[in-house]
Amino acid sequence: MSDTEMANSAPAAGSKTERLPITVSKPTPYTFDLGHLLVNDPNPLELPADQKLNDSLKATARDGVQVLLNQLLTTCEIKTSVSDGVLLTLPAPNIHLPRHKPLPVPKAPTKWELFARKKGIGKFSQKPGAAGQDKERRKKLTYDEASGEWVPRWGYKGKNKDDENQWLVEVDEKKWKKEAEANAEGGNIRGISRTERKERIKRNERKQRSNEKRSNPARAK
Amino acid sequence: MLREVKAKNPRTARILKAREPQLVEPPKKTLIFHGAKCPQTLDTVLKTFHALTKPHNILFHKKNENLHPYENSESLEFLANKNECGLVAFGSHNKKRPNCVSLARIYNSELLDLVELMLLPPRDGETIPPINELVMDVGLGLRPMMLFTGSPWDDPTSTAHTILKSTLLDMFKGEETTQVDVEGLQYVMMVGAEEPQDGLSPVIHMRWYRVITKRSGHKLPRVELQEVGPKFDFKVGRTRQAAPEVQKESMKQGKRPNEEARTKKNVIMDSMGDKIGRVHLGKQDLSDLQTRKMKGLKRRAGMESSDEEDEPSAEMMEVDEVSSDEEVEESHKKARKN
Repeated sequence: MSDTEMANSAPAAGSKTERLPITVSKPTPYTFDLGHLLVNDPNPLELPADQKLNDSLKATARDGVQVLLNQLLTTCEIKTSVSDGVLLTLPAPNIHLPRHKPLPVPKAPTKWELFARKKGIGKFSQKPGAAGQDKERRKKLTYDEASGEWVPRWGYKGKNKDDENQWLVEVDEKKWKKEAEANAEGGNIRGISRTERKERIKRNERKQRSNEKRSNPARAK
Repeated sequence: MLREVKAKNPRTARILKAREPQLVEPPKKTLIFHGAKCPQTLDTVLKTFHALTKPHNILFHKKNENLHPYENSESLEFLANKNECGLVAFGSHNKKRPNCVSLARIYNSELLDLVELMLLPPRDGETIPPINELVMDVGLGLRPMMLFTGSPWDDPTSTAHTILKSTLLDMFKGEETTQVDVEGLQYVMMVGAEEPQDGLSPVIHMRWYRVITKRSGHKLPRVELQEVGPKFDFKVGRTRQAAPEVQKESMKQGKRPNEEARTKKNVIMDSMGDKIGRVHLGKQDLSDLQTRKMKGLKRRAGMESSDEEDEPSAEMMEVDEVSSDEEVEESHKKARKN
């Protein structure tokens, strides 16, 4: 404390050559949490009755801030650049604060994912490169050889609708049965590609709902 | 409890998604509002908190009647959750507890802990000015330096101080960053705790100072302080601690994606997220290197002695190659597994 008083009187003297003290000595050492720019002064607060409260608080604060700045400038890595100025790299904070919301719960695996994991299919495959292939297969854009452009795999102008606007529809042996069925229902082989796609969408939605129900019975109605 | 909303369009879906729990949380927002009465001194306290927690706060201007956080925390929780706030500063004023600020924290849309600060009249014949007469030009989003002085902060038995320190730090710390500009270290918040006296509630002093650095002649600068902003002296009132299990639950921090300790050597992830493995092959044996073949140096049938010498060395080389190939494959596998 005596150091500080000296320090306070020193600037009043005001000689330029005089070195101002930058060290602070206290009976109990300060503790820091530099990640939060925080300093702890465990010494009891000294508030003498003959001194004004604000003045004594300010003196204590000055010592604390001096120590904090000394610590910051000596222990933290300093990066100087023209564009960003002088940056201090802070360590991770020591004091942990409570969260606002609980930790996010990881999404439950779908029934397909469970099956694929068991069988080692797709992204769970152990074969070299299989996981990457699966990822590639699920990307939105695909290369169209005919036009030489990248087109969406599905959705607006999607590649999965190519078969639907062809002027000629091939009916091979495998499709004979389908054609007969379509004709019996009063339809046509020409529309079957679209109907099948729509059915696949509905099936997928059904699976999505059942997965949602399975993973979170409370939220699903 | 807020009702569960189901998104009807992508915009609301995005908003709802942003409200879901996140692994790395943004800074908590503070909800600042007051009860039926709010005298000028209390208003100064609330507005100061508002100014210093910008832009992570929401300020209510209208009064809220019949709100008693200690008796019934339901409305407090409702308002905080509705506004996505993790911290609440509620100002109330009545005869028994004049000029009282309750600081509350929310976890999982329920009240975590609560501490009450009662503003004391300033000593030395000073007054607390209204907020518009205060000058505190603090840049938006500046991180303050914080100073906690006094022995009670380190006392683990004093619940009031433990909660208060944690809450104040949570409230004023701003956005957590790994780097800080030296220019930005402009102001300091000081919270001093007086020595505890028997039978009296603990007293704390909150002060703000601007930091002025002077050339000291040493490598490090000499620090001087200038008082800015208001000066508050508080008496700590009632406190409510979090239930131990809730407290433990709330302190859980998930594993950050890039924080994982590197257990496997020579495998790193670059900034694009590509996995890069380094394979060490050992030193190549250059003594057996096949150099350019020349007709003049070709072996002839008559020179047997040199042939015998050559053969085993050729075999050795083959063996070497195979073994090194295996090593390469193995290390490739390792890299892929990781």
